[in-house]
Amino acid sequence: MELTIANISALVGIGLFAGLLGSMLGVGGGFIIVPVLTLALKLPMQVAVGSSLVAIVANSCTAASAYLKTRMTNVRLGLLLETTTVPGAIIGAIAVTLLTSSTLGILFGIALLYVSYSMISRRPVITDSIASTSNSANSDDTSTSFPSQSQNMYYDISQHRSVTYEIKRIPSGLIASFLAGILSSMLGIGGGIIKVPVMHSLMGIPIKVAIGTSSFMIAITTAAGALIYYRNGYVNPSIVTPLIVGVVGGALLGTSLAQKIKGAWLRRGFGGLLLVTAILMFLRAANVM
Amino acid sequence: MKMKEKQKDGKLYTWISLGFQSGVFISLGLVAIGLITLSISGDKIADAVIPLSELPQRLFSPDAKVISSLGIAILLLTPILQVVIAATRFASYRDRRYLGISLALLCMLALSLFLSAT
Repeated sequence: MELTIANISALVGIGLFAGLLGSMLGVGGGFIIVPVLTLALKLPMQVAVGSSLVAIVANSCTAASAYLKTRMTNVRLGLLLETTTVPGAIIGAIAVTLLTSSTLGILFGIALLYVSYSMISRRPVITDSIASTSNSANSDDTSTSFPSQSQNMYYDISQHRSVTYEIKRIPSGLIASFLAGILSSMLGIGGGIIKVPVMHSLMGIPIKVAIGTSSFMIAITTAAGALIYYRNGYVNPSIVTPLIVGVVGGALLGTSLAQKIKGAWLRRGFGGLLLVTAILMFLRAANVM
Repeated sequence: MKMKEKQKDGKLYTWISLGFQSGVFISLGLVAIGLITLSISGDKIADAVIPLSELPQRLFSPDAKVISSLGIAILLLTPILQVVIAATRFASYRDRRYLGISLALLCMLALSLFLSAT
């Protein structure tokens, strides 16, 4: 792709949009970047996924830094879950070279449908929590298991108190993290759409901590997968460099805006947009467009 | 939470947060310089990054492509560096369980790095 001022501006704009919405919705940004690169710029799926993963690393590093500052991250839990997520990401990145662009497009379309459903339906798995507020799971729990009680605590600014929580079902969390790693590398997504609900609903982690820990994990997982795409030549600098500039700007803006904007309408609108994109991905995979 | 343990965790979180921030901004600076250099020179950027194994040699003759590739490489190595920082902190706390977990994770990341360099 030729790097004209118009192309650079368009890619920075896409990155800005992905970083802004991704950080506000907790979806990494891959669900925006990959469809735009494949549908609008007609790039091969593998190049779109590789470029998207690099942009997600930039997005998640920016978000993770902010969440770590406010202690909304459980670093120990994140590292533990990463021991199965990273092997999943490596397997996914290797497997992607064996799949055709159409197969990947169909898989991506299915993932989009799932995300779209979770956003439109009554279960606001991600958005409302990022938009900030107060629905912590197990906020009254004082029991503990693992890593240790002292680490399973955070200060909730909106509730003006410390919240202690218990981590449950660690083996199930490790298995789910492995699957999230595979999907992340194969589809160029952060995997937060799987990690956050698993940590929150299955493992009993407060939603705010689940999002902060997920950002920390996404940075590590996507870096592991992106390095293999880098090696295989699927990272295109002419696309990635403007995307990084936009994504970091968008993530910084999104993190501050997330506290001020009501998430429900934004989530439903975004869910509808993803539904249309999923249909377009299926049509493209079937060579209809 | 015991005060001493709280202070230890505070340092761990501060170091990792700073590590992420520094990595992103260094990378952002380099890719922005690469992008501006390209726009000014009007050169065409290649469709693939410089392989990690060739990057150190190419640093002696930097051009827009080398600067951009270096920025991307630093970005991808930033999260791995945070695991190194965590492992170092756990070693200093004598937290064997999480030192072991961090080292196991680093071995997997090293495999990823090896696969990307060969």
